[in-house]
This record gives sequence, C-alpha cells and structure tokens, in this order.
Amino acid sequence: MRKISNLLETLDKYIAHSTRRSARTLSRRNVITRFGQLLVGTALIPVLPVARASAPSGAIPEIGDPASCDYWRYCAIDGYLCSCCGGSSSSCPPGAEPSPVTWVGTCENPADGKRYIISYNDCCGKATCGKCFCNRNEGDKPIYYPPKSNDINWCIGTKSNAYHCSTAVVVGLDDS
Amino acid sequence: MRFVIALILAGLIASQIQASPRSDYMIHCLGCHTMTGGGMPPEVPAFDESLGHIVGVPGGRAYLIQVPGASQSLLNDEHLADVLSWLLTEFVGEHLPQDFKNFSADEVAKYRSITLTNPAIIRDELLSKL
Repeated sequence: MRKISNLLETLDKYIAHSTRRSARTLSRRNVITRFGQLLVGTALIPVLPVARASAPSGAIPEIGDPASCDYWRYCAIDGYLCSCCGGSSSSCPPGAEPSPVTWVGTCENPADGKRYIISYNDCCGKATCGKCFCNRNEGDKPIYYPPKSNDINWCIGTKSNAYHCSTAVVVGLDDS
Repeated sequence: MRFVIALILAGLIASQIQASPRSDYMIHCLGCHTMTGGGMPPEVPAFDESLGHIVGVPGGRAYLIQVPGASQSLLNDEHLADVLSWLLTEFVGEHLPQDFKNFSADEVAKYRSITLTNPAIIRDELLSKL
C-alpha cells in the first residue's frame, strides 16, 4: 500500500514538474501546432498500406463497367450479373438474399495490376434474373472440388435455394 | 517521432508476416467459414472456443488436419500448416492451450492422408474428452 502511494506521489511530482516546464518553454501557439499535427497524423494512418490491405473496398482503383461481363471482378463468375438485375456488383437486388457461403476466386485489377480476392456470393429467393449472363472461369475447378467450383448453385443456407443472380465482392488483396 | 516511425514499421512488418496465411484463408476457407469464422452451423461449424479445446485433447490436432475442408483443400502441406496455425490464433487465440505450438508441414503430411469417414462422430468424441 505504501509502495503504491509512493509511486503515485512520484508520478504526481513528475507530471507537475513537466507541466511547469512546458508552460515555461512552450508557447500556446506551439501547443496548438503540435496538436494539429497529431490530428493530421491520426487522419493519415488509414491511408497506410496496412489499413488498405484489411479494408480494400475504400481504396481500390477502378476501371470498367460493373454491368458488363468483361469487368475485371467477374473473371471467375458464372451467372447473371446482379448489376443488371437491380443490385450491384457487390449487393443483391431488393428482395433477394445473399448466400452466406460461396466460392472464392482471385482476379487481377487492370487499374493497379494487383490480384484481389473475390467472393462470388449468389443472390437467392427470387426467380432467375435472366439478364447479363456472364460465364468466365478463371481458376474455376471441376465440381469435385466444390469450394473452387462456380458450377454449383451456392444458394445454400438461404431461406430459398432459388438462384437469382451473382455478385463479385472484393474481400481482400491476394498476397499469398 | 522516431518511436512513431518504429511503431508504423513494426506494424507493416507484422502485417507482411501475417499476410500469406490470411490470404490463403480468404481464398481457400472463407467461402464457407466466412470472414468472421462464424461459418454456417451445423454444416459448417463455427470457429468458437470448442476448437481451442479440441487442439488440446489427444487426437485433436490430427482431427483438425483431417477434416475434409482442410485435408482436401488445394493448399500444400506447408501452407495448410500455416493457415491452421493462423486461424486458431486469429479466431480462438484466447482459448488455446498455454503450450499450443504452431502446426508444421511434417505434422500435416503425417496425418493428412488418413481419411475420416465420419468427421462429425470424431468431433463429438473429441469434445466428450474435455
């Protein structure tokens, strides 16, 4: 107990001493400048590559039309593009439910030459969309490798297994 | 300032060390086990505390190598060992035994070729050993 109070007393003295020293040597303007630098520095941290790798969607350079089959994210898709069915390349149309499980591939982004990991979640629970059929099979494996096959109806774990359309969600940068 | 730079560099290096098994997890496992490791029970078991306990019981490590999603994946032995070690630390790190050691390529090679005819039964047996 005595040790703790000694420690607190020392800490107290140290803080009082450094505060007085700061007050003597630093101008108020200096403190404001330093604080400003800290704020700017903190704001810049998400721009660093570490944050980009874990949250790629905010920083991926884009090129191409998500409603067109030759859009880079569709390099391994097999189905109707949700972008043409009232949804987007990464979200289901209203009334359709995304499959929780799916197959995952990788595609090269021509805008930066990097490979990204793409999750091809199907949208389920509505009749087949029928628009913008797209069948590109980069990295697709035969059906006896289920986790690597795009020939499977991935509407598994959804309320209905009716297939509507497919999305292509970027989940990360491929640095394997 | 030097301290901040050192901290950022340490973060960058750490992220590079972690990068490969994390990518392999995303490419080969995430489709069913999901980004959070929550899976789709009961077909795809969640990576929860039971996994941390299974590692600690006899036969548990072999079982994790032999489950179909691991043994039949397109990962080679070395990468599978790295992914197993990474996902255990990432998702159930706080529930791992204190003497937990990372998987090695040799350990994976030793157990991978033994096929489990009914993984669910083995899982129940392992969990009953807790």
